[in-house]
Amino acid sequence: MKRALPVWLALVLGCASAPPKPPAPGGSIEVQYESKAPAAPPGGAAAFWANRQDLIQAPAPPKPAALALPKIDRFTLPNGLQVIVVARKDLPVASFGLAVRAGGYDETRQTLGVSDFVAAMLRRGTKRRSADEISRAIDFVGGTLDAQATNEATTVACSVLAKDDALCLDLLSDVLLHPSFPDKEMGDVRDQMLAAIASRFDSPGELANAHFDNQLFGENHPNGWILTADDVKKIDRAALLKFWQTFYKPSRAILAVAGDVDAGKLRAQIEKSFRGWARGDAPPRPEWKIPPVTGTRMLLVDKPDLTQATFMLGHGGIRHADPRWYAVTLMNYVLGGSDFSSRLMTEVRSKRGLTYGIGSSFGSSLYEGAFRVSAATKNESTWDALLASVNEIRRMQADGPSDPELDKAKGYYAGSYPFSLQTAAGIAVALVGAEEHGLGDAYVRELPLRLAAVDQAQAKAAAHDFLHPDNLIVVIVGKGDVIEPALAGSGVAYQRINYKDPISAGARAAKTPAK
Amino acid sequence: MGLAAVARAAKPVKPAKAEKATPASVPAPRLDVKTWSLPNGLQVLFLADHKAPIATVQVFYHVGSKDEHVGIRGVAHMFEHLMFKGSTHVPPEEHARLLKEVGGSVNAFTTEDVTAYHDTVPPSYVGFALQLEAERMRNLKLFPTTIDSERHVVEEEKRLRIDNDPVGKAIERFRALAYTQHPYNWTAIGTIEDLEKVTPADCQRFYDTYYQPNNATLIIVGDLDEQTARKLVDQHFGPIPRGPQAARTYPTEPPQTQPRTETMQIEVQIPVIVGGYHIPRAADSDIPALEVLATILSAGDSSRLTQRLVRRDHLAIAAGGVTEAMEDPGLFIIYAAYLPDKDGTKVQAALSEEIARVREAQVAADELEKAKNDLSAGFIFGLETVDGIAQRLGLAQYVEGDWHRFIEGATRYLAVTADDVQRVAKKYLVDTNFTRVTLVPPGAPMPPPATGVHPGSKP
Repeated sequence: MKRALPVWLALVLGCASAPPKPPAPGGSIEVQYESKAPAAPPGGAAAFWANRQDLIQAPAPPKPAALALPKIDRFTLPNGLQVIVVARKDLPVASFGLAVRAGGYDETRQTLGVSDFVAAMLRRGTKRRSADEISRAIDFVGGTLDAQATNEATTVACSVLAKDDALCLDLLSDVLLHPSFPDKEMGDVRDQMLAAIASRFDSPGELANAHFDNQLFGENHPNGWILTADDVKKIDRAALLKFWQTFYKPSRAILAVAGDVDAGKLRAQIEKSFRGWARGDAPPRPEWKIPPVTGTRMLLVDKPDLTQATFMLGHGGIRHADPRWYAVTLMNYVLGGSDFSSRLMTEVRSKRGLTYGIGSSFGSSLYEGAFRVSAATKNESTWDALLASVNEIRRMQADGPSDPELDKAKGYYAGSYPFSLQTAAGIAVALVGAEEHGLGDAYVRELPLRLAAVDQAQAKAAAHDFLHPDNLIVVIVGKGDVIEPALAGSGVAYQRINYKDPISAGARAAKTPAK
Repeated sequence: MGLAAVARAAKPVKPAKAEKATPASVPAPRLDVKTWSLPNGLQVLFLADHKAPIATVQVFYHVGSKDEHVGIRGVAHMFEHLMFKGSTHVPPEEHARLLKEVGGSVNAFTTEDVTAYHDTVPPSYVGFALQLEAERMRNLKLFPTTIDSERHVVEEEKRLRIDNDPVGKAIERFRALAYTQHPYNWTAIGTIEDLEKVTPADCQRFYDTYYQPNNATLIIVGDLDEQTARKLVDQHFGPIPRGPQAARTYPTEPPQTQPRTETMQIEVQIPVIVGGYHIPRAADSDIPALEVLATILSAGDSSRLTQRLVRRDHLAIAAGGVTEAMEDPGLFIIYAAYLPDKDGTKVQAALSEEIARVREAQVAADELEKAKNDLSAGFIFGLETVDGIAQRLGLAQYVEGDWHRFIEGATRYLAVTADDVQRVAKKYLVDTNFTRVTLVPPGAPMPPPATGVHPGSKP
């Protein structure tokens, strides 16, 4: 559960602007734009650059290479806890991250939200320390200690100056192994969760995301369950304790440490801190599956005060561990994964000026995730922007990326990959993520090489197999009265709801009995 | 909630027992920044950093929304967009595309005081990034049709970031109330009204005035050596002629003598209070003490505002304070967000009481030490990425007036005493210097105005 308020406030306060980042219908949207539609910068501008010989050209792209990672020490404690230590001496900082396989995928519809609640309660009291003592200890050394639950796992992360690594380890093990879940701390956590749920209605992007997830994953998949205030209010201390006791097991956990640490000394400290964590089994996870999408269906979420529409469209995606993930990633880079360079950005924003930003993603998830295109546009331009987007998906699905496009994508990953692994914490997160998805350290080292090995036939096959322009979930959040006429005239099935209606389609159906 | 909370409200928050911890006496890494200037006036900052095979090239132009006037509000930010829309040897959008092809990532931002362009690339492409930055420093092509289409993109961005975001709206209104004369009256995103009116001539004039080597600082941080950097900078930026010197005169904001408060009723799920006090310019010697104070008020769950409003009184879900130090006199911001079933009047009262406490009594020694440790550690964490280092250097150069202010690191905070903190609180955090905007949903009770309120004058 996000506690991001100060962050968004800071963003607005700073008022810095940045170029758009891609934000992480039965019937079928058939209309196609003619490819000759205003294809060049408008007016006299186009002629200026046409047929010029003196334009600046890009040099040859970087050669893909394996990443030079520092030495990685690995060991496993007798109770099954896996440990990864990456020593880097260049800055006096240390970063600890412990990921335990306990998250939304281990909840039921009845216990929805419990993994978030448990994560938020971990640092709010242990057998030895009160919540304020924990805060004070970490604040006093200028460090951070946070726990976050996702569907896949709960991660407790602690970053400090290297001299304080023992304190970090002590706090980390204390909050994981000995949380006391004090009743008196539950009210604040509940309020934070309720605020996050409520503020969803103030954020068109989050609202679109929630509706899209519910529409795509449905009522029998944790990704499709949308947390409500009622869910949060019914979580009691017994539920927290039960979830923690059932799923927080060392055999389901990985600890990664990166930074200016002494691997030998640290090993003894880690063994001491975590040896009291009792081994044990947890119930296996269900293999969550996305229900098939047949035909395109649209949901219009009316929020009359919006001066801009946000839409999201897509369908099922791919698992991170699927061997075709590399080809899909490159193909998506060309379609909508690359800011200014992508086809979606070029066609929908640059040539047609229909959006401020548009992007697509497949993600890298444990189970099959979602392919989603998201964009922000004027209410009046929504339908045109949708058509242009679907048209690009259709074009990509038919032919795949071209060889030059593929080369550019590979060049990008070859050059930019080290960028994401600059920090100690970045390396730790990447190693844990790879381990959680069964990919291993080799994946972290060799990602640019694996991407470079994809050929055009494989990328084309990826586009053919993983894009489905006739079977889309479309969610539009905007001013309904302006947007609806174009949808009504399209012949594609759609439904209009109010933005305050329940996000779960199942809950809406239960509220208004079918005639 | 209720009476018990009110009764407790008068008592100070008792700090939790301190756990033994080492003070942050780690020497910060020495940053061997090299600097030189070209004959055309371009200042260059270079820092070798070999942590990872990457380098960042950043051009900071000393221009922001405070260089605008009513009629062209938003043009500085619109210019940030136009810089991607084509120059003599680079067609529209190609700057970003060309750099992406070599694994680069491209970014830019506009504030009230600076406009910055970032290219982060593998080290062997630093020359290419410099070539592209030199190209758009003086060779931009401003076609009227391009300006028209980009103006709409920028307007959409404003709708996205401000008009459809309740907090964005509150901040916009807060600034308009806090500043009556100075151009900090508006935020860097500008106004749709003015963006509609900006002409190609306005744009050309803006470009020729501010996008000049003698109005810019070029920063290179990363995995390369100084000699290579010098050679590449000379090669690409050396030929650009010096431009005219931009005039820099800004209206002085008259001292505020009365509190200004306003309540906005809009569709919002989480009511928000944004308040602030005028403070001196970022280069002023009182700023470090104000930053220490902001840290005491809001860094971490053990901070005063979180302890009081969130943990003790259970009034707010988040509360904090932050110095918004700018090149000209800025603001010390305080804020709180709360659930709609809480009483906004009590939230406001708790904020006021906590501010009164820092005026009336010295902060405790351990609070002061904690704040210094936090600021020291924050400085070191800020050195983890080359782009982070370069950005901080650039902001120090123009917002604080000297890039050395960044490499001094946390030393300036270490000298701050409890007396200093109380002195700046008494000097700046006073009611007559206070502006507040409260955002509540329609139908919610309206918080009372501050004592002696008069609505702030509109621009």
